[in-house]
Formats: sequence, structure tokens, C-alpha cells
Amino acid sequence: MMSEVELKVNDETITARKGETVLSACERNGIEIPTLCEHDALENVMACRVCIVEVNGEQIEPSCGLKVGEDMEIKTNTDKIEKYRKINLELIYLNENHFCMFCESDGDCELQDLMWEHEIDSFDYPRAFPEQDVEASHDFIVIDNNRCIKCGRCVRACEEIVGNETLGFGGRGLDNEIVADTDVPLAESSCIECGMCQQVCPTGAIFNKQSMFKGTSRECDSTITTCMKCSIGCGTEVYKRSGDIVEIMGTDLEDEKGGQLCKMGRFDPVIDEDERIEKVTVRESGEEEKIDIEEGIEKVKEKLEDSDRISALASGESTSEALDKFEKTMREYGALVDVVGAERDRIEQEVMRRVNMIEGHLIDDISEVMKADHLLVYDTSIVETHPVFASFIRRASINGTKLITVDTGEDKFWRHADISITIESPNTQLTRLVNEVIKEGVASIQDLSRVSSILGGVKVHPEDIMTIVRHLEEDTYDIIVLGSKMPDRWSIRHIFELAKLEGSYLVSLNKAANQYFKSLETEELYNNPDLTYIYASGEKENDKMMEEAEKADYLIVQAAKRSELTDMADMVIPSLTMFEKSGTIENINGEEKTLNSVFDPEVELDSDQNFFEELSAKEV
Amino acid sequence: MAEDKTKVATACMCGCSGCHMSFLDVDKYIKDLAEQVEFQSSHVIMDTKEFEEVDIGILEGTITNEENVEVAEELRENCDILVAWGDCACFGGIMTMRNFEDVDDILEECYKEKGDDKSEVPKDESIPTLTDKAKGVDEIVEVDAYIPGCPPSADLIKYGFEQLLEGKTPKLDKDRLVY
Repeated sequence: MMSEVELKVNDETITARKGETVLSACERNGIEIPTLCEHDALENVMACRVCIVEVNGEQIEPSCGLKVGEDMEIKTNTDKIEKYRKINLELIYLNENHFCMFCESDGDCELQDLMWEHEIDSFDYPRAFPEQDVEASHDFIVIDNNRCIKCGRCVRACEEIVGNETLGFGGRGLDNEIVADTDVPLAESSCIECGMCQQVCPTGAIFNKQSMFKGTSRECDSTITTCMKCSIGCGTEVYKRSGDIVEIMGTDLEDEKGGQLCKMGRFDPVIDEDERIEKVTVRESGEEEKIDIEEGIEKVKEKLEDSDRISALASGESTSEALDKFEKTMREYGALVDVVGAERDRIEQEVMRRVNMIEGHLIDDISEVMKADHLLVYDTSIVETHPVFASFIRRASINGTKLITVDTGEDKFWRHADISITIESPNTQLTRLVNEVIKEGVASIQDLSRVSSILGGVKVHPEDIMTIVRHLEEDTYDIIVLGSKMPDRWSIRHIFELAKLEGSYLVSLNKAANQYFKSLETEELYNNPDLTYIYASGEKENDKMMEEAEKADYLIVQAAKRSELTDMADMVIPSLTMFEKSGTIENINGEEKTLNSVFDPEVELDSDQNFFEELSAKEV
Repeated sequence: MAEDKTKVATACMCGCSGCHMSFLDVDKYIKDLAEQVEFQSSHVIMDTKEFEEVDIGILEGTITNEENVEVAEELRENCDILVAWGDCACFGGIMTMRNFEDVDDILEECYKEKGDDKSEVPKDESIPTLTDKAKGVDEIVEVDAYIPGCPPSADLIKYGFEQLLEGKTPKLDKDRLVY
């Protein structure tokens, strides 16, 4: 039972949790205190001094830094407090160069809102007019220091939520400004383009170049939905106006994600101008014919009925409902069915059977990595494929977790890794050696050199192996993370064996955004199919799809956008985009996330699953 | 003209006259207003160069040159209540963006460097000298009421007149204040 404290706020007695701040106690009890630098997902730093309150009729203190105490008497709205709050707001405004009339955030600005609320219609102090930099080197993110109130939300978000530590303060006094790394242009910095800084900025100091002047959040309609770009399934709020996406914000403020999104989820959709597949297109002997969807369905049915060996591949960026119907319909035509990303899962299942591993080794909550003592990351490409998950690993490292990375190329965690091991492809050699060392009880590097010479031709530094062994052998909470580009079943097998041997836990990421395929039956596709049906959904081409497309004799591609893949196809069928679909997806933690359609479909389909339903061979 | 009408003078200093345009947007209210007030001076509706004694003085625009200072001081002397219209008059507005640079440098850049060989910075007795910094009205003379906005909406302008004619000094509350 958490101990409680009673205190008086504006003569009302409220109950607070011991150790919490006056600000959070007031917020929970419905007493509003204005703030600028405070943010739910971030630590408090008491920078803006707008949340000041009167304590016991004596001193004035910022409520975000004041811990509750028994019998404390707090006043949040006395004349004195209002007066000082107004002065603080005015000084914050005057200290920088705010010109509301042409600011991107005019009407969308927390400082402006508070100034209006406090009825500030003139100033008692002169303006400072400091010279400030505008940093606009980046494709999306602009940092205009003229509008920066130095609340430090962006700096804290970059460190505490994203774990990237790119943004910081540079200069002193009036020269104080937000800088990237060692004051380099943002485009050349360590920035990973997640846009978290823009999301938390209370003013127009950090904004998205691609969204600017397209409308304030109050002028836009918004839809809460789920991102489909990877298996993390982040919550998003999509703002739209006049049929265009204006901007996308993260909504998972309550959990470990802190409202994070990544470039794929936040910025790319805003500038997506790829050509849409609108009609069913049939290509025959060099001729291209566009037909209606009904005619298209008949044509596809005919083709499916006439083919013996059908390979059917679906994108992992599909809703569970669409995947379900896709599998059922294709089975009716006797097709072999696979989903991009499922192959990896099949290998893992097989490996687990072979090494007698229990399910418990696979972690069902990926945020657990932040509690690990040692983290061994195989394949650092997760920084690009699952960027929000990568932030958990960086945060773990900042908070003291020992991070060991193994990659064939550049270590994408190089700034955070304690030990960075580069290996030559294939990956198996390292894990094989580590296993060997552990099994044989080889204790020294000299012994190890002997082992590696026995294995022959292995180009792994013996000390690297010893390092891994040493760390995993300690009696600690260790997690091994496998990226989605892990190449072969032998690597996976060795890593799983290692985890079993050392009692480590595993997080394994595959290429599918929707993990619902695990509830379906999938298998390897034909080597020489008569017909290949690729349901690319909202996704453009990927390696697996291209591989299957190249094997195809007759290729049908169903996709929302034109790509290399649709250009290859004999028949192209439209599909809904990520923002037109509705339904559910299952994320990496096995949670069902809801997908709400942001736009009405622009094509003749009402949903992808209905298309598969109509394609069904069964006579109704 | 009737003696009991409230006398009003308005002037635009360094501004775009957008606030005055917004004033014309009050639409039919201008008829009601005309019954209650007499405009002694207002550049959008009449050509008067000097201020007489008025009840209400209204200023739009930033103070950027010596003439603006004179206009502000003269109107202040001749009115009972001085109202600042718009962001420029209230806070300095967009014109204060020149405060980052030295006045002479700005003139050189604008008239000489951006022109051709024959261009020069205009110098004549009839051209008012620029002040060192662009300023809001209340940095020069005392202001009694502020109606900010860029421009303030016709509704706010109307609200301002209504309050003034009721003998009150308009003060925009949080539901009305925008800039």
C-alpha cells in the first residue's frame, strides 16, 4: 500500500501519494496549474517557473519540483501568484524573438495560449532581441532558436525517451540555444529523425518543414490509429486537412514509448507521393489494359482456377482480417501460402524443438530489455527496422546495462555499445565458437585459439568470444536481441542454444509488422510455381517479394502504390493504403492493436478482406 | 455636426493599415457608430493632417521614425484615451525585426547594395529619420487600452468602440485576446 499524504490546496483538502510533486497531486485532483516545461513523459527540471505556487503563505516555489508534505498549505491562484506568473510569462516571451503573426505554430502554441489566458496585452519590460540561429539543414526538422523558450523538453525527450542524446544546450545567457551534438548542422548530426523533439516542443521552435502552414492541430481533423511500419505497433494520431496528412503524432505517452514514433511512422507518410494503383491492370503481350474491379475479380478467379501450383505471399503490413481471408481464399485454390517474416518464425519454432527450448525463453514484453544487466544485440539493423525498440536499448545502455553488439557491418549502436564486435559473414562462426567455449569449458584465450584452429579458417577475434562468454556466464539478467536480418538457420540455432545454455532470454524480431501470421498456417512456397499471387498491401517491394516475383511464371501483384514489383507483374490489383485500412494488428508483445481508417478508400475497394471474400472459389 | 458626439481621431504610423481595413470590416456597425461618433481625423476616410482635441485617439502601427514619434506625441496630447490597435502598436510587431541590425546598415543594404550603381540612400529634409529601434507605442507615450491582433478582428474593433462609448476602457479578457 502506497502511503498517502494529506495537504490543503486552495483551502481544499486533497490526498496525495507520498513522494509525488505538488503539481502532479493537483493535476490528479483536478486542480489546474499552468506549465510550460513540464511534460508527462519527462523528468521535471523547473525551467519555466510558470507552475509557481504559494507554500504555507510564505515562499513561492515551482510546484513541479516541490514534493508534497503533510499539512502543507498550497495556494495556486492568489493575486500575488498570478502577478508573478504573468511576469514570468512576459519575461519568457521578451527574452526571445516571437512574432506570432508568421509563426508556424500560431494558434498551436502553449506559450501563446498561456499569454492569452493571462490576458497579457502589453509589456512592462523591453524586448531583448538576441541574435539567434535558425537550423534548417534537415529534411524535416527545423530548429528556430528565435522561438525557443529554453524549456529543455526536446533535450530531455532526446535523452530520456529516445536515448539518442543528440540535442543539448549550447552557449550561455542570451546566447543559449539548442544545438545538435557539438553544434553541428542537424542534418550532419547523430539525429535519427524520430521527430520526438518536434512533438514535445511547446512553441514553434521545432517544427516539421513538410507540415508547416498546412494547418494547426485545431484546424485539422484527427484520427487515432496504429502505425503499421513494424511489429512495435506504436499508437499514432494522424492529423488531416483537405484530404492530406498534415502531421502524425505519437500517442503512447503512458507506456515506455513516451509517445515516440520514428521517421517511417511520423515523417515518411507526410511526403509520400508515390503513384497510386487505381485500377486492375492486365498486361498481355506488351499491351496494357485497365479494367473494372468486378471484371478483375473474374479474371483472377479464372487464372487461379487454371493454375496447379500457386504460390501466395502476403505482406506483413496487412491487417489480421485481411491475412485471415487471404489465407482461406488462397487455400481454396490449393495454393501454398506464406507471409513475409513468417519464414523466420518457422525456423525459430524448429530450432526450439531441436534444442528443447521452452517458450519462456522468448520475452513477451520487449520493454524488459530496459531491465537487463547484459544485452547482446545480434544485428544492429534494428535501429532502422524497429527504431522505437532501438530506443529502449539505448536507454538501457544509458542507465547502466552492459551493451554488447555483434554485426557484420557498421555497428549502429556504436555510441552506446560497451563492446562492439564486427564479424564476417556468416554470423554462425561467432556463436558456434561461443557455444564451443562454453560447452568445452575452455578457460583461456590460448585454449580458444586452439579451438578456433580446429574449427579452421575462422576469422573471429578470440578475445571477442571470451568477452561474450564472460558476460553471459555471470549470474545476471541477460537478454539476447536478434534483429530481423539474421541470415540463416544455423546462426539462429547457435544463438538459441547459447541462450538455453546460459539461461539468457531472447527477443527476436522478424520482418512482419503484423504478428498475426503466427495464428495462420504458412509454408515455403513453390520453386517453380505456375502462378504467384503477391499481396503487397500498403508495402512497396521487399527482398522476399522480389525473390518470389522472380520465380513467377505468371505474376499477380496487389498493392496500393506503384513499385518495381507492380511494374514486373502480369496483373496488378489495387489495395488500400495503411491509412485507408481498418481492422486489427497483433504487435510483437502479442497485443491486439486497433487500426482506424483515416481516409475513405480512393479506389473501388471497400476493404482488402472483402476483395478476398469475393475472390473465394466457393459458390454462394 | 451635433455637439454631443464623441470625437475620434485615428492614425496609422509604420503599419500596413490592416487594422483600419479590419475597422471597415465592422460592416453595418459603421452606421451606428457614425451616429455616435465624429471622426476628426482618420486616413482611411478623410484627408486631415492635424489633430484637434478629441475624446478618443487610436494608433495603428509601429514607431519607426521621427514622424511617428511626433504623431504619437501629438495625438497623446490631444486625446483623453489613447488606444493601440494591432500587434505593431501594442508590441512593436513585425517591424521590430529590424532591431537585430544597425539602422545605417539596413539603409545601405536596402537602397545601395540591392540597387544599381546610381542608387543611394535617400537623404532629404522632408524624409523623416529612422529611430534607432522600432518600438511599440507605449515605449514613447502612455497607452490606455490595447487591442492586439494581426489584425484585430472586426468584432474586437467593434467591442473596443462599444466599451469606449459606454465610458469604459476596453480590456480584452482571455476569451477575446488573440495575437
